[in-house]
Amino acid sequence: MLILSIDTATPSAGVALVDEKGLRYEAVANTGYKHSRTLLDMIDVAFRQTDYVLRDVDAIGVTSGPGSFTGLRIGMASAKGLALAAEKPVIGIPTLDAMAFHIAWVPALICPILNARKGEIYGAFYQGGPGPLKRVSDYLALSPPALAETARTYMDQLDLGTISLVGDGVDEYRSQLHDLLGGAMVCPEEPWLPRASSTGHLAFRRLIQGDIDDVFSLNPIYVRQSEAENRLAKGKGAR
Amino acid sequence: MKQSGIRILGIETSCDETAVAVVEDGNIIRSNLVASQIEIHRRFGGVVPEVASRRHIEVIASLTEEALKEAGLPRQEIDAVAVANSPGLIGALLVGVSFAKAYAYGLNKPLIGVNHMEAHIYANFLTENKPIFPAVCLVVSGGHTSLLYMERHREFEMMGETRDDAAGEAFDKVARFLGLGYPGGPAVQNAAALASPGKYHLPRVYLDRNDFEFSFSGLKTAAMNLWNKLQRSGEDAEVNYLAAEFQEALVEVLVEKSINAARQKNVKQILLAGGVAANARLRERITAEASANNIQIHIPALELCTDNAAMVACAGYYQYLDGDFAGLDLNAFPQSGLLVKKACG
Repeated sequence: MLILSIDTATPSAGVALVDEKGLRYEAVANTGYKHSRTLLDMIDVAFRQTDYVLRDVDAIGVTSGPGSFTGLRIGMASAKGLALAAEKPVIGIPTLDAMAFHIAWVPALICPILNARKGEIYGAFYQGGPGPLKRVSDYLALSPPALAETARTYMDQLDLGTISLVGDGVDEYRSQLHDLLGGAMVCPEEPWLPRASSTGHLAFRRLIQGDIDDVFSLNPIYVRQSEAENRLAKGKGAR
Repeated sequence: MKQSGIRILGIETSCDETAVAVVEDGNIIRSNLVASQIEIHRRFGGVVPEVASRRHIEVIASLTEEALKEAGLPRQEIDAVAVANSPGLIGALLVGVSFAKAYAYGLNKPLIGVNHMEAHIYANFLTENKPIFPAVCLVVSGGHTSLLYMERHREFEMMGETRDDAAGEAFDKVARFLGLGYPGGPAVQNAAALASPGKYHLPRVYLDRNDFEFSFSGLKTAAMNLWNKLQRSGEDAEVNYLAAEFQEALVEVLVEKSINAARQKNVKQILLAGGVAANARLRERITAEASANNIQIHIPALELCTDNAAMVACAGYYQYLDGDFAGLDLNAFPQSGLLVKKACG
């Protein structure tokens, strides 16, 4: 059982091949938003470097959001196109689930965060190891203070003394989050990237359960409405 | 490479229509599906790019499957995938481009990147009665107003274009200003049909110039100023008459310049293209003027004037014949480029 996974949710694009033995191939291009130009080439290189062909793939995994709206659609449109043309099932994996999976064994409140701009962070909360990773919140868009407050609630609730944060939201709000969370916060010192391999591992787990998505109705998880819809809801006029 | 029975899958997502079509040999439309977003954007009073992009990704997969089903073709019998990759809303284009690239790759078929405005012109070839070269093309849409000279397939010489607003853009803005509704073209046309031009006067901008440039921003502003003045004066301001005069002023310039361009180039045919080619008054006036000048007018069927994918597949067919295929790095571009690149070629 082989998964081709693709991730274009953030400025970094990734492609991975995962099977029952684990990760077979992974490439990351952290070169900013030019995924439309590079993604398919990256997929083609993945096959050429591994001697796999598209026919060998059993399902296509794609990071489904949140993240850059356009980036998510590039990944999703590519996954749908491949899935339909090659007659493969598609499996959408939420970005924050994939990011949390990357550090699933850490015995803490796990909180992957992405820079959502406009002073906010996309984030979700998970109960880390031991035991299987468990998501305890929705996918959210929050200000750093609201995120810290929600984190405290979950830490009390789950009796966890540490919160482990990863993602480019850490890079953007590191000092502010340190001020808010103090010693309870642990996070990588280096910038940390989402990985297509995490999406691939999670998609593989779903595939062996027979849990696939409908290629027609699978859609990005945006978390946020479009700006025009927000303005309309606030009665400001769309334009 | 085979020379007949060539089936191109066309994909179009440059603005607010998701469209997929299958066209055989450049003129046999096997299927032509359009998922319009007009109702979705109406409450915003215009196309919202992010909302359009979200809708494209929701429908592109099912629309593609339906188009193939309606064409009665297994997907392996498609010879190439053509997609509009410029000009347009970048986020919207990227949905179609990303999907088309992956679909072509998955099928192991050639990929073709098509210029959306060229595709509008090629809507004229979706018929048995194909245009004859050389020809002059009037391309009028929400994003373009250009006169082009075409001597052979895929070669365009730019004769002139708008310096500011496109004709369709002026329709939209005036319609919104006058509260006529959305989309602007049909709204102005419907209002104008209830009245006649001449009650008010608006300028025929650039009509006195001896070139093929257009300007519609001034006309739009003149219409808005006149409306404000009428409202202030307490006179009985009749919106339908203003709409009729606005439409007439715009159409008159388009028609005169097109006829002049055809006469200067000594061509026998004018090809109309783009969404504004659906305007009844433009179709009527240009047909009459051309006939008086012994010139033939070629106008695509109404549903092929507005955005569709059959025109993309048709333009793609002529690129297919030239072996002009795209690589895996095909990207989307908001600006046209293509028509300009070939200008004066």
